[in-house]
Amino acid sequence: MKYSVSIIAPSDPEITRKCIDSVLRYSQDFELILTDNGSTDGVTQLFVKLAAEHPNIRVVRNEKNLGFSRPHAHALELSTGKWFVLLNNDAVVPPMWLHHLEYPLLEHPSGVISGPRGGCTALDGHFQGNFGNLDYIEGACMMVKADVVKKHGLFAPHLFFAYSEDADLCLRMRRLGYTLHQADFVLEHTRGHTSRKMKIIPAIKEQNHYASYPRWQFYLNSRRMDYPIVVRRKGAIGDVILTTAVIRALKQIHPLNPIHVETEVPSVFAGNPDVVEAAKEIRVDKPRLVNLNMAYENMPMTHYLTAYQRAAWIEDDIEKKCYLFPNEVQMRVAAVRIPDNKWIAIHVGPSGWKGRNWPADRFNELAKILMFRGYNIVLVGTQNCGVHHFHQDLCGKTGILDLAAILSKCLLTITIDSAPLHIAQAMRCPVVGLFGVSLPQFVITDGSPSICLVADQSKFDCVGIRHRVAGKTSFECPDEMMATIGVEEVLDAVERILEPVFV
Amino acid sequence: MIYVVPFLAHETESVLNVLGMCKARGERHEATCLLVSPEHNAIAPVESVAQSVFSTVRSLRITNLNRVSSGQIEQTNYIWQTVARHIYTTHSTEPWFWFQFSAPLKMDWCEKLESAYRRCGKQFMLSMDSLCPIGVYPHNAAGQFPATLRASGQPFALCIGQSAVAQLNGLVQHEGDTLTEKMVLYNGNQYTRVAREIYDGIPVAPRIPSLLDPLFRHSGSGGDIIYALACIKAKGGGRLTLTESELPRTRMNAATFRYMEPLIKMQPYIKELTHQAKGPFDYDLDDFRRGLRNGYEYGRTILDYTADQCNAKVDDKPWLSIDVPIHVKGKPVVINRTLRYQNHKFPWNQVAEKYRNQAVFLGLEMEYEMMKFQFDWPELVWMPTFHLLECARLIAGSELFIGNQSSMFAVAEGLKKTVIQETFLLQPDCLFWRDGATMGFDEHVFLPDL
Repeated sequence: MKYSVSIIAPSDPEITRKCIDSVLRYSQDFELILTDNGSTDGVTQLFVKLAAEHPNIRVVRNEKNLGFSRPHAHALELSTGKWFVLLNNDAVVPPMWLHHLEYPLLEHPSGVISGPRGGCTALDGHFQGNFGNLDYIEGACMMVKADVVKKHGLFAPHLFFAYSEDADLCLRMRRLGYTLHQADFVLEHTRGHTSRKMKIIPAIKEQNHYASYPRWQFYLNSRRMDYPIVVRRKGAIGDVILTTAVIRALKQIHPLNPIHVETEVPSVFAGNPDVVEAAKEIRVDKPRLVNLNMAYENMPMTHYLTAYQRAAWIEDDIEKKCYLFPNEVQMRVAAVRIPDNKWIAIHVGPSGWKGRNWPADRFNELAKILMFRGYNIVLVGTQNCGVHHFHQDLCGKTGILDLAAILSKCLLTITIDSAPLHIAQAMRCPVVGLFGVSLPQFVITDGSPSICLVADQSKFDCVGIRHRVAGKTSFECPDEMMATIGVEEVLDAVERILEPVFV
Repeated sequence: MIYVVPFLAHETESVLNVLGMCKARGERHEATCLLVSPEHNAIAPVESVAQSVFSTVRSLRITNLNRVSSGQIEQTNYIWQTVARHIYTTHSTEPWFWFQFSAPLKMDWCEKLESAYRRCGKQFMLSMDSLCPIGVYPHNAAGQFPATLRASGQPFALCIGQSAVAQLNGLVQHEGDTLTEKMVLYNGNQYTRVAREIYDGIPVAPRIPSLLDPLFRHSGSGGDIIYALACIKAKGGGRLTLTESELPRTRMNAATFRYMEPLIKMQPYIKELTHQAKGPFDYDLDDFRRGLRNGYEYGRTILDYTADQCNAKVDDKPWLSIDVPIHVKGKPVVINRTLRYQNHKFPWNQVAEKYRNQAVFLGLEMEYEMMKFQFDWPELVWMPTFHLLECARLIAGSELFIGNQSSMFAVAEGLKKTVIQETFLLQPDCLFWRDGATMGFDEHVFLPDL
């Protein structure tokens, strides 16, 4: 079948019969999915009779009225047509209506939704349907490209029962770069016939309005889909690197919108295709601000990226992977510095936070053993804190992306909870992480395999980040706590990552 | 009408305060006041004040009270029955009004009450406003009451559920100030309005505001004001004025003010509450909204912002106090969900499943209907309320509060109750990370057994 037409009827068999008759008379190459939405007045019998007479009619029976969104979404799942058409049961269609609906979508490759002329086409500032320029297509009669809406979802899950979902769908599609089109016919439609019978409708409308409005507020105010987005994160390098995961997700949701990043470490974003600009101060006209400052700090016991995701108003879980893009020169230099594939990077610190630094003598012992086992050791970070066993000491000699290039060529990075940990994961380099005050389950991303060792906090009078309370930042712990992680444990972790066959 | 004023020794001060206020306003009622107390010594000072307010003052000392029972309910019932018998046997034909003077009265309370009683055309007129036997009774109530009960099953104009009627054997008090689920709370019926006309619902806490007390200004919304109370308390208290503002989200009209007023006035650190007072203000608690234009910091609470605004250091103790917690029998869970600030991931279906018969709903009728409809929860009981103090009483009496980021959540937080929040993902500005508080960002919410 070319077309799948979905009609929902909670009541009114006579009106519904008129609608279906018009569809049967004026449609070809179609299947009709009829949803009996908990009717008690003869709709069931009508649908059963029609299904017996017409093999292209399928009937779905709901025990109660499930509204507009869910039954149509279910019908979409059942549908087999290339074009999916939603039609109200109080509408009567004219001849050639499906062709009229299809035509503009064939004419415009970006077209994904079409509807008849007339009716509400514009959204006012309160997210109400109105007459005017084409902002959206009413759900009373709407043709959509089935594969596109199956991929992106027909109606938003935050909208209950009915109302606002058609506007939300249209706006989501437009945000992705698709277009809406009016077909050249007028629908005969008894507006609001069904809704007038339910007392709860005003409450549903209000609830859905409140759910929709904040999500589309920026569009309603600016009336443009390509407004700039400014992501703001001022924190430490690691915190900024973590934003790349959210920026990637933002770009997928908002492909039309240029993303700017306001940060103190703009070099993190050099070469990042998702970002048009990164600077310490961003000046663009009427941007939407995504403020990630203090986002995870205000969300204790939450993964940093989950906190970022929420702060960016991304409602579905994002991929927890960060991205860095060293350029070709940086990669070549790295290849010269660590020419073979036997290198292990060790980041010895120091961290600005107490309770994160592993003792230098432990690092020394660890490096010595690893060198004895045939690995090459490269030290990375801002300064060498007293480690004498190494092949290369690059401490203080690399920028962020230079280091990214180096780590991309290493077998493994052994690091405390500090920026190189995130750089390594962004470059898909396996990690052995040594944690003190922070908890790895809230920090580690899915960028690369990792084993994290956590210091025993119980022996110290210390309330670490793991017990952090929002707004209270005095969570320093003594560095001695890190000494509870032994060299043997770290070696064991290294073996488990590099030589899993022996695990 | 005879005005019966019962009080125990420790209630003398509040009765004196209420009557003292009437006296200070120059009230003079051509009516009889019957002071009832087990303590003769307590009656004397009240009597002298009452004589200025009522044309006739009589007193009735209740003897043997301690021998009857040590329980407050039984004692109250005993006093009520004694009074009813006393009035019946004194052959007075006047109705009598039992009123525990624990709250300030409006200027024309007597006239309004009598007029309402005449209008109602019934023998009994009760309001359950403060869970006491406040109400107007016929002179022969002592003899008639049980018979009336048996005859009609509904002697009151105010409808009381059957289970409550059963408990009215002892007549007036019910177990431990516990409401039963079928009992209709005083909202939405004519006698509620009467109660409201005469009774401010505000406890007597004589406070004399001084111009030296700092003047705080706020324009709402309701929850923001509740959070601001924590800051005012941390600043050592002061005067508060609620005004309209040019800022968004502020709707401080007269109705909103009345809704907030009883709860705010109950807080001992609020020396004075006014509506639309003129400046200058020592602290404009709306100012933080201006700062938000530069970027809301995700997850930071309204309380944090307000505290910064007035440089207050808020501790983690409760900042709201109320007069009487209301336990709704068999319903330890209080639910509130406004139509705004919702999170579709929050497991309301599981909440409905788990606490199907254990919950009451606070909020607007429309919100209640929506809750029942959306989550198939017909067993959910609605508790209509007049003002936020009534909500606070019910929240205080609950074991668990579940709701979204509304003013009622602010109240629950102010009382430091066990709460589960339906967190609005787009603006989680009411996150309170503490023991007993669960922030529901998604479907993974632990629902405790009760």
